[in-house]
Amino acid sequence: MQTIIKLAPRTLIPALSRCSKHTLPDLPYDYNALEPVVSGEIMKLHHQKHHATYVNNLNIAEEKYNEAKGKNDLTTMIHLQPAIRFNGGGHLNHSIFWEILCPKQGGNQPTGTLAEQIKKDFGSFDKMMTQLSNASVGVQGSGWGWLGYNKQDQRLQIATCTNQDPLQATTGLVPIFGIDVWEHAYYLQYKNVRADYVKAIFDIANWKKSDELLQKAKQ
Amino acid sequence: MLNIIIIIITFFLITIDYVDSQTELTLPTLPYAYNALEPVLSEYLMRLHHDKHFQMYTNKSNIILKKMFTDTQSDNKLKEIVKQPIEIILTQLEYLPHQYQLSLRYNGGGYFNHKLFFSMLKTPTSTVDENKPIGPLLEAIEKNFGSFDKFKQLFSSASYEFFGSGWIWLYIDAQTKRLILNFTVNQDNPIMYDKNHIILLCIDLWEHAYYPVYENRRNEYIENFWRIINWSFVNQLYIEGQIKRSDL
Repeated sequence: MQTIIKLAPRTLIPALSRCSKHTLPDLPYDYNALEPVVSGEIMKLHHQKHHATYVNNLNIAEEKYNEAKGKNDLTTMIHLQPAIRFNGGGHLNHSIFWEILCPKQGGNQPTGTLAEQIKKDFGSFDKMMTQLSNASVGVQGSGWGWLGYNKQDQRLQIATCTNQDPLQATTGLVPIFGIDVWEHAYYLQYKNVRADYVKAIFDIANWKKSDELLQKAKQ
Repeated sequence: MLNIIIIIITFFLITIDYVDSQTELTLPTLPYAYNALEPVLSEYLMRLHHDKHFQMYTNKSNIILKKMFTDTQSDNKLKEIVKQPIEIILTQLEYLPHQYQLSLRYNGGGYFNHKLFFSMLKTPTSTVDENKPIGPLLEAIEKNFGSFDKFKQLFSSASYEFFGSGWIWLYIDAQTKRLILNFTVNQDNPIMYDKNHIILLCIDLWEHAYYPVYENRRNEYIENFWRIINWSFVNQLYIEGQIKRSDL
């Protein structure tokens, strides 16, 4: 257990930054489009508050990092790395998340390359879903459950990450489908019953997008 | 006939004496009504936090403890450990078999942390400034942090900056006897690292601890937390801690 070290402050700096290159992406659908699986209330908070904060804080941290780099201040650069990881990871993860969800459709199952790959690597879609669900529900504290593509082994794998650690940077796996299991992602609607949220989220999985991501990963 | 009955009863009683089992945790009731912490923490939030989260940690801990005790592979040392109170077991996690360790750290830690946390809260004062410690505890805080305000600022800052799920703690350090401010992730707590740390104050930074009232605005939760700290209780922990430490 480390003693408290002062983390990179989140005080807002007046908007004079030259390279605020990260921006909050729009959702590809309305805030209430994912109902009844995820409420409009949650989507609004999740996007406008949580994701927006990651973007803002990432820009601030990067600005400071670049400043420190310019001065060859390695101590400050290293000091800022956790903030870049938290906020950069948060930005990456949520940007992917909005894309791999879509309004509820009946009989939602993967098709094409994704369906074949799932069958090959898991035996069946149901088996993959069970493994991903168990892993996601089982995350202790905050984190994500992922279906990722292992480019070296050319196979799909289930993985979990802590906090906002981004899948690819942390494990090398390419994200194909993921589930945010931070409490903010479901609490207002599902309360402590994460399992119900994880079960329901498969109804709004944008398998078409995941298929695209897989095809790209396999190139 | 009477002799036989006496013999049977005696045998039964002797048998009961030797039939022991793992410690079994019970969900403590809150020391106040569910709505007592309004408006800082709503009744709705307190019901969820206590009746769902705390209950779940209790249930799961009991399942693990029972499994450990009845597991045929468990040796006597392990069986003795799981008969101890939870606050002792949590200081001996390294002796637990791998398949139980992580789970008991999480659920047992969750039980212990919430039991303590709920005990150190009370009806809110109208303002933050009204609520402060007095006596030896205040002196110790001033000695270790410069002033009570400085301590509040450090504690609040650490709580705001902390990322993910976890806790911020104020405790008497086992080795140095100084007051230390520190964090733990998930349901870890200071006694898992040194059984002689004396915990004084903590704040639950899991989102479930504040989301129904404050949503993402953790800073508001932290600001208002100062209104609900039961400094009498914390003072008591400090006094007991001083006594305990002077024996070491």
